[in-house]
Amino acid sequence: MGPFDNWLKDLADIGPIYPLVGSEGIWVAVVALFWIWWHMAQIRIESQLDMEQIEAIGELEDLYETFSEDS
Amino acid sequence: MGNQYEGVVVLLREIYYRDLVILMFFAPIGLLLFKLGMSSKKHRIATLTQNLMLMPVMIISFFLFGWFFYKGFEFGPGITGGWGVSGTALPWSEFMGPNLDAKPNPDNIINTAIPWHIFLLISIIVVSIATGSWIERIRGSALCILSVILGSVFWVIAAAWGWSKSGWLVELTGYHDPFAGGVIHCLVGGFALGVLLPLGPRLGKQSEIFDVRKTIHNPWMITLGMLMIYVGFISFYFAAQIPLIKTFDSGNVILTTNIYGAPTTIYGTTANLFLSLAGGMMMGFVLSKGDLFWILGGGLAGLVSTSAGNDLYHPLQAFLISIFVVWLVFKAHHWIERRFRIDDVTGVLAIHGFGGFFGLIISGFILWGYPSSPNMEFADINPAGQAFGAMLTFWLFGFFPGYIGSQVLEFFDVLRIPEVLEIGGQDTLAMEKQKEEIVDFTGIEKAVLKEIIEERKN
Repeated sequence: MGPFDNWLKDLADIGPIYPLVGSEGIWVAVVALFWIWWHMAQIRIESQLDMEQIEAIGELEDLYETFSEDS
Repeated sequence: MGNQYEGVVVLLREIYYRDLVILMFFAPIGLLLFKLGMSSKKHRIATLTQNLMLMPVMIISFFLFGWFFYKGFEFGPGITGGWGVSGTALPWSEFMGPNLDAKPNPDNIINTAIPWHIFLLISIIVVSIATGSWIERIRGSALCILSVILGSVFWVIAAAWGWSKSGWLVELTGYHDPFAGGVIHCLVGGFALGVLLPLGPRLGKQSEIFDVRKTIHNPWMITLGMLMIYVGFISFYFAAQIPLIKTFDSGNVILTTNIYGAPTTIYGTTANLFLSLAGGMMMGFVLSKGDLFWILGGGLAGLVSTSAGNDLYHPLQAFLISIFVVWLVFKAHHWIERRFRIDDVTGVLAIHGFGGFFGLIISGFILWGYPSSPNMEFADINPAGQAFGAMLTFWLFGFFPGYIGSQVLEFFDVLRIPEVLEIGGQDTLAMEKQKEEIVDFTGIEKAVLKEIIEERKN
């Protein structure tokens, strides 16, 4: 898997030291897709949480009553 | 001997940047604390989680394309050259991973020797500054998307143009901005304004009944936060000064250079930084009659105001520029917030936008005729070049991307949180859960206590 088998040569000749050199394009594509998916998931999760919170808070009128009670 | 000498410089630079990465982290932490201190209790947990997520989003987007924009846009592209050395900054380049052949390019040492994660940290700082102005009503997802636009695209291109050794703006207009008063602060102010217009103020903050006001919800938190920002600012100043070898007739010398590779002195720039801070804090105190927000914000605006020339100013010049710009910033802030009903929670537009803008204009006159770069074919510093840079960073790279980006998000109805949530608080469920957990825990404690008492009785 590694691009070299010993450290005892000119290090500059070794170049990259991570495994699977040459397949970087595939990792970039996978990471980019995950990144875009994450933003979409964030919007979805956030909308769902907002709905739950709005339900817990109630209508603006209810909120006004709560504020009045608190004060 | 030459190789040993070069080796010492490389080692020095490595240690220098490793330490600075840690110290610069104080800035985003401080900015987070500052935002939390300005945020009301019912929105605090949401503000915290939303802003924490900026960090991973910036890291991944900056790796995927942010660094490429810095490397690829230095010459335009197409204005004074092509795509530069951008090939090594593409996410699939083998130089983006551990590579034993990743030697700096001797022809362009500044742009190849500075590690990309220093720029990433600056990007995180940039977005952390901007997002403070929108808290309590913007959606977390909008915050992340706008941050990518700002931190991984537009500020990076502006930096490539005006904050790099061979940037075309430096070459053709003599633009000089060694500590990024324009490419960071002025630009961030413009971007914040661009988003604030479609976003609108917090409910009730700008109405006929209530005047514009800055409410500090936790004075200790904003003080601690701003002090950390100052530490981050000092570290950033150090990061923008690079130890390099310069060859003179008398031999090789290790020099401190600014971002353009021109000689400067650490003690001079640090003295300027402290004097700017002092001037800003003192002026902020006087203008606001001792208001905490403006003492701290004045200090920051003072630092921003001299960033376009602190490699060359005398400390007392820095002090005087700072007090004058903070006066302008304070007046402009109140005028624009009242006139246009803008609700900028952490004062980004004023402190960073106006501070950077006025600082650039002033530097153009004071440093008129100085070389903008060690390359003597480049234009000298001049008022028109600095004014052009100020307009470019504020409007083209700041305001318009922010305005268009937030308009698109508004169109898809994902920019602002619902009204009920804004008044009721985004932490409603989190606080309820916390209360329930405390009740549960108290119940368990009571049961355990009862058991112990009964055991002792027996």
